Amino acid sequence: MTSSPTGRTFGSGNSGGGGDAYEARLIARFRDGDPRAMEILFDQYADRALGLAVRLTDTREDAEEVAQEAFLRAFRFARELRGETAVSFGAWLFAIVRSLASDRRRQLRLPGVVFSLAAPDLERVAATDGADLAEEAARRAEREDLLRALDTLPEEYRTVLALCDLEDVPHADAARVLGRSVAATKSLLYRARRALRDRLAALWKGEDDA
Amino acid sequence: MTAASCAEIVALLGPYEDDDLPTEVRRRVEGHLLACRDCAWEAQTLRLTRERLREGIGEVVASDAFRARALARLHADNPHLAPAPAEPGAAEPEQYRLPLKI
Repeated sequence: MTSSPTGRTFGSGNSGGGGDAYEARLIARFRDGDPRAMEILFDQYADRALGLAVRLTDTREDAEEVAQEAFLRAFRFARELRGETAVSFGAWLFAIVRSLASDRRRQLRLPGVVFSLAAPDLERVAATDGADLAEEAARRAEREDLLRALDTLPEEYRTVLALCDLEDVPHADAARVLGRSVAATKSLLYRARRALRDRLAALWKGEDDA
Repeated sequence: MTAASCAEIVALLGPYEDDDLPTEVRRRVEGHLLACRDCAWEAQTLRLTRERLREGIGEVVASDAFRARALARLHADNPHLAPAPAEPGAAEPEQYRLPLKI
């Protein structure tokens, strides 16, 4: 059996995130030369892989480069797999996204925004007119508070929030991405939510005091 | 409510919000939340934070351009894959026409 650099293999673990027998068959078909199998796997994970990359990089352009490179590496690894597999494609893919995003941030060492608004939010703001402007401005201010609060959190907190609360990745897959047990991942998630709540409360309190 | 029971309930709020508790424990948490203002505040603010995160940050959808670009790279990087079948409606290749005359 071929293992990843972390000693993992993927494909048939029943993680509820696509890491099931169907996914294992798709990987086997991909290895056997079926392009459709690769396209189905790509479609299954494109939004979530890009979503995670968007949360962990500074620009949409960076996120797309990270997501694309992660898919290339994940399929290269899938091509070399032989025999039974145990970890879902998604878990492996998300782990690569996280690692590439972390490398990119280290190279750039950029301060400021990490969690960025999704493109549709920006388009919605641009399309707003007249009476809705005040309401939209308030929503936008709230989103900016949220982004500022998120950016002050440790990387593990941002990652677990992005995986579990934004991309709906199953806890078991998130645990593999984070290299923790499922119980430890849940505990990390609850701490991350509480930390985000406390950061937001501090921001709002600061605004009230001003 | 004692401080100890509040600490116990606060520790259960994460799995409670994720609907990840056995029914009996869930009822115990709900009973406590009805009686304890501090724990109810804790539960409510955590729930609001999660809702705001989901609503405020927004879902990311991969654009058609990204999909096309990434898939082109993936096809180029996987030469072992058979050529994709022709799109429906595309002209039938000459070699597949049967030389029949009726």
